[in-house]
This record gives sequence, structure tokens and C-alpha cells, in this order.
Amino acid sequence: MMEVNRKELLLEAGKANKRLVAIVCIQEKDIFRLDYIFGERGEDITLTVRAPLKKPVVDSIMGTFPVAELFEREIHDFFGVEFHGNRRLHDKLFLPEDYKGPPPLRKGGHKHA
Amino acid sequence: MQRVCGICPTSHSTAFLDCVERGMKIDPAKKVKLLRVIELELERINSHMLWTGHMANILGYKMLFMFFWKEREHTLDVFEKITGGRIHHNFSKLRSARFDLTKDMENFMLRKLARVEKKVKGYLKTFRSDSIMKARLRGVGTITKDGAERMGVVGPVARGSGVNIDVRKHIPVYRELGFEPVLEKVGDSYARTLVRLRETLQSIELVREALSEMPKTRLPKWGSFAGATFESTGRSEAPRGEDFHFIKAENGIIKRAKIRTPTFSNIISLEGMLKGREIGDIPVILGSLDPCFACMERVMVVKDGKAEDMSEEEFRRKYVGNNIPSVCPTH
Repeated sequence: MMEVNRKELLLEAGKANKRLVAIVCIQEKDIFRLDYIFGERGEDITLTVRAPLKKPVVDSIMGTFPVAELFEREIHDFFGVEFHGNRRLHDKLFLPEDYKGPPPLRKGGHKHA
Repeated sequence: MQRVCGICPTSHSTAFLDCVERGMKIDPAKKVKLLRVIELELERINSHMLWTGHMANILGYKMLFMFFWKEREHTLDVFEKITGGRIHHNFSKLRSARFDLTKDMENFMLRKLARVEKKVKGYLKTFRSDSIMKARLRGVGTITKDGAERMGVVGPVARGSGVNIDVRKHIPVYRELGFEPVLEKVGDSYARTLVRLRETLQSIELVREALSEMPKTRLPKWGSFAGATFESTGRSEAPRGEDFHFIKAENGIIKRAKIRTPTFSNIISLEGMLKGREIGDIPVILGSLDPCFACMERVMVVKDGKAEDMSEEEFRRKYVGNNIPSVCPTH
């Protein structure tokens, strides 16, 4: 597992030159931890980005990894994390179109970003 | 965990157990690994037969569709015999399996598989020689090797384009059985069909080899993850591709679970495949990805410790505008 900041993410991901497997969002005390998992079983690398709970914004990597578009939209739906550069981020993926409530997996009633 | 999907329940339970066992640093006995190989491969045979029948139906071959589903019944019989369940079958336990295979079960399995193998070989010949099949599938929904790598597709869709991705080749017990991924080069719907049919025959062979290598020892005791604290990832090769699980547990309680099903990775490539094709090709292209929307669409609402499974429509009717309890997507 390697900690990177928002700006370094794409550079490090490009260096790894592996397939994006999944993005996992975990809510810890006052931050969101985003684990980007690349590569095959046993040879995988994890890049970790942290975003503050109050205003969680990270850069999208869908330009380099097209599959990230859906992963990011899912995380936006359920946690309200903003991915800067993802054009279809605000189209609901799993939640109903007219859903107005807080992000359902987020702990502690925040409004949808 | 097998309730995630009705076609690939074992893949999910295996990926979950891979996750927990890696997190708790447990290495199951060879016998247990071989039993998991058998169940995973039987599941692959079942799923690929179901898919090929469905594809034949899309192409208008109702009879071939029925033939494939008739053979699929035999694999369901095998599941019923060895696990007790035809659809939501599960065999795996932490560090062990529910029970051992008896001689009677083994013979039943081998007899049924011999029949399925004979029939699938015949059907493969049909797919290879029939000119209408080729006309409908060749050059339809092509994704190149570079495109497949860039899009991050998994499973037979990637292998149909010549991308060598398979979780099984990273698992030692499969390497010992001499496993090599099935690859095709062209990347169109026809290549994906051939990959799945060839994989069915390969899986039958893998089950036979796993049975012949099975040690005659007793099964170890089931494990438990009571009190365990770990954070881990696990994978298995589901019939549709790589299935990924992430579990974070504290003192034996799961705090965060994330499942990335193969369809979620594959569906993004659909847009590029559809461009420039005719309306009549849409079902063929979508079908050739073997999408499993069942595990993409549902949500499970957990309220006061009780789980409630529902569709998007029901969820909307019941909860939109109200206070929402914690919602666990089945993803």
C-alpha cells in the first residue's frame, strides 16, 4: 500500500502500468480513504488517497482508465465523494434519478454533494 | 455470500474466503483447494452452457437453445447431488468444506460430465462450421487487444481479444493441474463464443484432474473468524471474469465490504462495441458480454438488524424522501 496525494495519483498509476481492478472507499474517523487497486492477484499494488470528510474532492482517473468512470460514479452515489474531471459523475448510477437524500453509505447525515 | 448471484454463488463465496483467509493468514489444505476447484469449474460449465444457450436463442436457434439447457440440467443434477442445492449451492467453509465427496458422488459426477462433454464437442463443431452463426457473430462487437487492455475488461471478453487475464493462473493449485488460459485473438462475438465453449471442455478436464489428484485424507475442521481484525482483498475467477472482494473486519464484525463483480468492469466497453453497428446487432453484442444485471441492480436495506432485498423501483417507492436507513448495495 502506498500513500499518494491527489496530484500524484495519476502519475503513480501511470508508472504502475497495470489494469485498474477496483476503487474501494472506506470512511474512517474524519476522512475518506480511497484505495485504488491495480494489477493481478499476488502482484497487485494499492495506491491510497485520503480526502477530508467535509469536502471530499479527488481527481478523476477516467481519462487514463476508462473503467474508473463507473467506479467513481458508484462511490459518488454512495459516499458523495467528488471526482474532479468525471463528466457524468452527477448522473445517478445505482440510486434512483430523483433521489434527494444523503449519500446512503456515509455515516453521520451529510447532504448529497 | 453466495446469495449475491444465482449463477455464480461459489465464485463469490470463494473470493470472500480468499479474502478472509489471506487476512487471517490461513492456508487451507490441498484437499480443500481441490474441492473448491471442482465446484468453481462445475459452476463455469453451468454458466457457460446457460450463456451459449441464451446466445443461440438470440441468434434465433430455439432448438439449439433447448439442447444447451437440457445439458445444463445435468450439471444442475451434479450440484444437487454434491451440495444439496441446484441454484444456491454452497460447499465452501473457512479453512474447509461442508463435507467430503463420496465415491458415489464422484462416479455420478464423472458419468454426467462424460455426457456433457460429448454433447458440447458436437455443439462446438456446429459453431465452428455453421455459416449463419459465423455471419451473425464474426466481426460483430469487436474489441482489439489494445482496446481490451485499456478498457480493463476481464474474463472471456478479455481472453477473446487475446489478453491473458485469468485469476486462476495466479493460484498455485491450478498451476499444479497444468492450467493454461484459453485465448482467442480476433476479439469479436464469435471469438468470445469460442472461448466460452472451449473453456467448458477445459473445465470438465480440470474437474477430472482434480478428482484424480484428491488426497484420501479427512477434511480439516471449519474455521471461524470470531474476534479477527483484518483488512484484505480476495479474488476468484467467476464464469464472467475476475470477481473482487474487499473486507475490513474489526473484532470479528465486518465494518466494510465491497464487491466488484465482473460485469461492472465489462459493461463500460459496450459503448465502443456498439458504435457503427446495426440495431439487429445490439442483442448479439450485449449478449456476447455475458452481462449479469442481477448483481448490478439490486440494493439491500438493513434496518433494525433485518435485511430486505428489493429492486430500484421498490426502493424508490418505499424510501425516497424519507429517512434512509443504512443501505448496502450488493456491489
